[in-house]
Parts: sequence; C-alpha cells; structure tokens
Amino acid sequence: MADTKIEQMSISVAKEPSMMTGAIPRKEWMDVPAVFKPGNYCYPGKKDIVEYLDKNLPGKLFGEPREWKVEEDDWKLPENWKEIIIQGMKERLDKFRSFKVFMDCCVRCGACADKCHFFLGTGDPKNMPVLRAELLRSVYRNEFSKASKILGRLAGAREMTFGVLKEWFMYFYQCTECRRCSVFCPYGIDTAEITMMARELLHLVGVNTNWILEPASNSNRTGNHLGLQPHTFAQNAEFLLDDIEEATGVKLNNLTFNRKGAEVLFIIPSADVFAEPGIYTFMGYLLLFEHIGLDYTISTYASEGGNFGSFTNNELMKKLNGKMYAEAKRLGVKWILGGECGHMWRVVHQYMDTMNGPADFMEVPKSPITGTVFENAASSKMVHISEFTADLIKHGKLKIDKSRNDHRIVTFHDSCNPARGMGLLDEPRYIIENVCNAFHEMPENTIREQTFCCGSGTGLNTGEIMDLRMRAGLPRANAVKHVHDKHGVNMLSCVCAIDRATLTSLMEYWNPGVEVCGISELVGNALIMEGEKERDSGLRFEPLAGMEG
Amino acid sequence: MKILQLLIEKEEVIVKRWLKHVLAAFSADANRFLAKQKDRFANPLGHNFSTGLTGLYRHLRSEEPGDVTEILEQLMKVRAVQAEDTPAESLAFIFALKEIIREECRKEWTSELDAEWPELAARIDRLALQAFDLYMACRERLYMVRIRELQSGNHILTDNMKCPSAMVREDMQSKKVENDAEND
Repeated sequence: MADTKIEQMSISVAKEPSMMTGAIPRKEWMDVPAVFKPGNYCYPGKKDIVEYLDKNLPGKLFGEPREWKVEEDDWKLPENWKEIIIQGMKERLDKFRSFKVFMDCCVRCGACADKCHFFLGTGDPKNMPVLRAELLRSVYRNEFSKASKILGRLAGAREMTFGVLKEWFMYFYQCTECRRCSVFCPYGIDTAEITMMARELLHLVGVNTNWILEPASNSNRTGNHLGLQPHTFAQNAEFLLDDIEEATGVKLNNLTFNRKGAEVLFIIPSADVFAEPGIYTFMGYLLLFEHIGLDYTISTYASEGGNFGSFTNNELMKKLNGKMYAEAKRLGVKWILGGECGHMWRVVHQYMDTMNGPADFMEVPKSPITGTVFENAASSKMVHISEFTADLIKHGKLKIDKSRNDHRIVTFHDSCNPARGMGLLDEPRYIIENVCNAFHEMPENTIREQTFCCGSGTGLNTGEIMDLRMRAGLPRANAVKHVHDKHGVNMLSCVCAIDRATLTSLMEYWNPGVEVCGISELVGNALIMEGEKERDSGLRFEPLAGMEG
Repeated sequence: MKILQLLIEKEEVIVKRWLKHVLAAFSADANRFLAKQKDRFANPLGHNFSTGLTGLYRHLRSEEPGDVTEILEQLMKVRAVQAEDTPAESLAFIFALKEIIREECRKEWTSELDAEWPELAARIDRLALQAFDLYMACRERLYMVRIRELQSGNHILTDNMKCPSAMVREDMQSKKVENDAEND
C-alpha cells in the first residue's frame, strides 16, 4: 500500500518544477497553477462542431459555441459560468447516487496514489487519482457541506475559480478512465465516473476538445467517427475482400450490408474498415464467419462500435449508443455480435441495457454453430467476438493450423474496458493459445485486472499531445519491453481499436520491432479455409515462417 | 588506472547520489515513491533511471568500456518525453556526475588521481555527446510517429476520398470559378 497521505501531499506536493505544468510549486497544491503549453493540452472544439452538437442535443450541454484558445487567459466563458458549474454539479449529485457517494466516501488512504499510469509516467502528484479527484471534491465540499465551507481550506474546501477550471481541464484530460486505480480502492470508488462527471461539467461551459467532439458529431450524423457515408463505408469494407482473396485464395461472398432478416447484426469499431492494423482484424472476422457459415450483416448506420459520446456526457453517449438497438430492430436480427472494441464494451456492458433497453425484441443470443446460449448477455443481447470465438474453439468447430502464426511471438495486452469494464480476461487468452504456438504473458502486475492503459484512451489519442501519450504509456511499454527482451516477443495483441492505433505508436517509440494486432487477425491467419491456396503469407502479406525466401 | 579502482569501491554511494540528483527534479511525493518502490513494473520511471544510471556508471568505470548505446538510448527515450525541459536541462545530469565524483572522492583524492582525472572527464564528455545524438534521435522518432499517425489518420479519407456529393460540389465550384474568370 502506498505511503502517501493527502495531508502530506497538501503540504509537500512539490518543491521543484512540476514535470507536467512547468510551474514551480513552492506552495500547497491548491496554490499551484496549471500552466498550458503546446504539447500538454488537446485543441479545443471547433465552433461549428459545437454548434452542430448543440443543435442536435437539447439542454445546452455543450456550452456556448465559440472560438477560444487554451493558452490565453480569456476562455470566453459565459458570465455566469460558475453558477452553471455549481448548478450542474447539484443536478448530477441528485441524479447520480454514485457521484454523491464517491464525493463523500474517500478516506484518503492513498491506495490508489501510485496506481495511475499518468502518475507513474509523469511523476506529477496531481495525477495521483486521490488528488485528481480532490480537484473536484474541494469544490464539492465548499458548495455542498456547510461545515467545510466555514472551515475552508482546513477542511480541504475551496471556491470555484478560473484557476480551478484550468486545473480540471488539465488533469481530467490526463485520465483515460481506465479504472486501474479503482481496482485498489477499498471503497470501490470508480474514478472513471468522477472524471466523467468533471468532463460533463466542463462541457456545460464549453470547455472541450475537438478530438472528442468531432468524431462524436460525425457519429451522430453518419454513424461513424470519420463521418464516412454509407457507400464509402461499404466500399472500404468490400475493398478488403480483394486483400483476403490475394492472401488466402478464397473469394468471400458473405459480406452484406443492412440486410433485413439476418440472424446476427455485427457491430465493429469503424477503424477496423479503414485503418491499419485494424483492417487485418476485420479480415480475420470475415474469414471466421465464412468458415462457420454465419448468417450476419453489417449496418452502415450503426457503423461505429466506439462511442466518443461517452467521453462527453450521458446524453450524447445514450444517443450514439441508441443506434445499435434501433438498427437491430429495423433489420429484425435475433442478436448482436460485437467486434474488438474497448470503450464500446464499457458502454454496452455497463450502461446500454438501462440506457436504451430493454431489447426485448431480440432473443437471448445462441450460437447457431455450437448451440451455446450466452446467458451473460441474456438482457443486453450482445456477445463479444472473443466469447463467440472461444466457444467455437472449445467445441472443435474451427479447423486451425497454428503454425501459420509461427512467425509471431505473441503477448496479450488486456484492453482496459473489456478487462476491467466487463471481465473479459480468459477468452482472448484461450483463443491465442489455440491459434499460436508462442505466447508469453507480461508480468502479473501489468495484466488482467491490473492491466496498464495504452495511455491514449478516452479521446486522448490525438497527435498534439504525443509527448504526454508516450509518458502515460510508459508503464505498458515497459512491461512489453520485458517480454520483448526476454522472449523475443514481436506481436502485441489486444482487443481494442484505440489500442491497435495507439499501441502501434507507443511501440514505434519505446519498442521498435513489436507490432500490434487484434486477436481475430491471429485467428484469420490460422483458419484452414475451404478452397484456399497454399498459404505463404499472413493477412498483412508478411511471409509466414519458413516462407521468407 | 587508480581512479577507476576508486570508482569501483565507491560505486554504491556515487550511483545513489547521482540517482538522487536526477529524481530531485520531481516533486517530493513523486520523488519518495520513485526512489522507494523497487518493483520495476510498478515503478517504470524509477526503474529506468536506476538501471540506466548504474549501467552508465559501470561503463565509465570499466577498464575497457564496451558499447553503451542500448543503455543510454533507453535513458534518453525517457528523458526525451519525460519533461518539458530544454535539451540542456534533460542532459545536464551527465555533467553533474563530474561534481558528484569529485565530492564523494574528496577524502581519497591524491595528486595521482589529479593526473588521471582529465581522461575520466573526457569519457564523461564523450558520453554526453553520444547522449545528445540519441536524445535528438528520440525527438525525431517522436515526430515520425506523429507524422505516421497523421498519414494513416482520418484526413486521408476525409480529404482524399471522393463521395459523390463532394465531387458534385467541387465540380460546381470549379465551374463557378471558370465562369467568374470569363466574366472578368
């Protein structure tokens, strides 16, 4: 258990310049200002994007659309911004019981203090989860506890000021809502939900980031982050059929879009149809479905599993998520199968059922191949591709040649949301062990429930904070380096689209020579397809072991 | 060389002080954690600093120093993204070793060591030069990572991908430009 107590922190937060803010803190933490410099903040939301969201979601949830600059002292906030924040806090304390409990029940034991990858990578005390939450709690105490208001700083209370707002914007965007700290909290405080609330409040006064708002508004308009229109989305996916044919010799005819009456609706993170290395994961999905003859279809409307709305507020999260059930109903499918995505699964597993359910127009998911009934998804009606694949393997329904992954020495990164958000720990490992000969785990305190975040989740995967991302990803990269040095690991597998994009960058910087893939790519490589040619390359057209010449 | 022998004897105390010097850049609480937590996976920063500095020190005090690139590069990777320091601030810790050695060896210092000192100082300087190259290589790698992300990112699709409505719009716009030019 960590030895840092909040009392100590409040006195001795820092005597030297903060690694993150550059400020020279010779004062208590409340007096240390957040200083924005290029590289330590995300660009704010564009005016037209905020206007669009404001128009499409009632309630003035995104503040006043305007041009503003983070480094300037005038953020062009509404005159009554403090009132808006305090009122917003009050409404949320009434609405979300968990928020109230989390504000009250922390005893500052410090168990979480050294568990955050941002703290471990930056050494900035305000990235200790307890202190990050204190940024919000201090205002809560001042406004909602009479005793604390009277005692003021003695009770850890302080007024909401512009300086506090800046601090919130800095540090609640140095939290990826990965929930590693929550694993160690004796009270089970879900720090991710504290960050969610803080970000909601910031949005109310128009303090936001474009990297989150633009994909969210694109999703609202066309159904996916990039704003790909239906025909472009379909073309991209169909284009990959040619690659599959070239790599395997098999021409697939099973890819359909918006087909009514299909048994299964398949929803993926949209990056899987356009961005490397996600496209190889997508090729793996399609090969698997062909292999077992699954009756499935993909929607061009619900063409995004990811939900950037969940990084803004409950209302937008709910709206973006709503298209999944809406499309399942319109197409008349029996159940939904979901691809390898991270925060999609947090939203699906923890919020969808109560937000947009009950989905009683569907059936309890049942594998048409093995007959397995997925009781765990009896209510949400949505099954994870890894659960589905593991079940197929368990029942011996897949013809597999493991040696086709012999050019890969694999490790597995537990993506935060599937691991801690839904408990998906063993299925991916079971699959890897059945399709690969060389699999090595990273150290125990860096995997499963204790997995380290990629450092770029919750909409922090933007280029302008690359230094910060590399710092935050150090704990993960450090563990990968260990298995790379010890076992020659050259493939970091995962089950998240943001991971596939951001871990690739992380590896390029920290561990060159380690590539990143989805589990389904490994499955696709290993599947023995009917009518296939002699396979000499994998799905990325890389030579298989023994075929290098 | 006598001085190398002395450095071997003093390794523990000098490396410890050197590490303390590096960690002093962090806040008091972080500093305490970084120095104390010995699990290399629970404390990647502290681990990288302590193994890196030990490796560099052993390189400097060896009779026949081998290739130190790997150790130095790992340390520079950390330094190059660790703080918003200037390059000088990031590399200053190498020069600080000179002072630390002189102070820690003050009691044992002899005129013979005085004669040997310039060679050791030159070794430290060479290490600093190599560190500068590696630091820059890390910064450049970081920019390359960013460029690669941009190239594979959404602007490729949104800017280059032609959807029918965009093509019609562009077509209309170019016709308008032509017409305007003719009218002028």
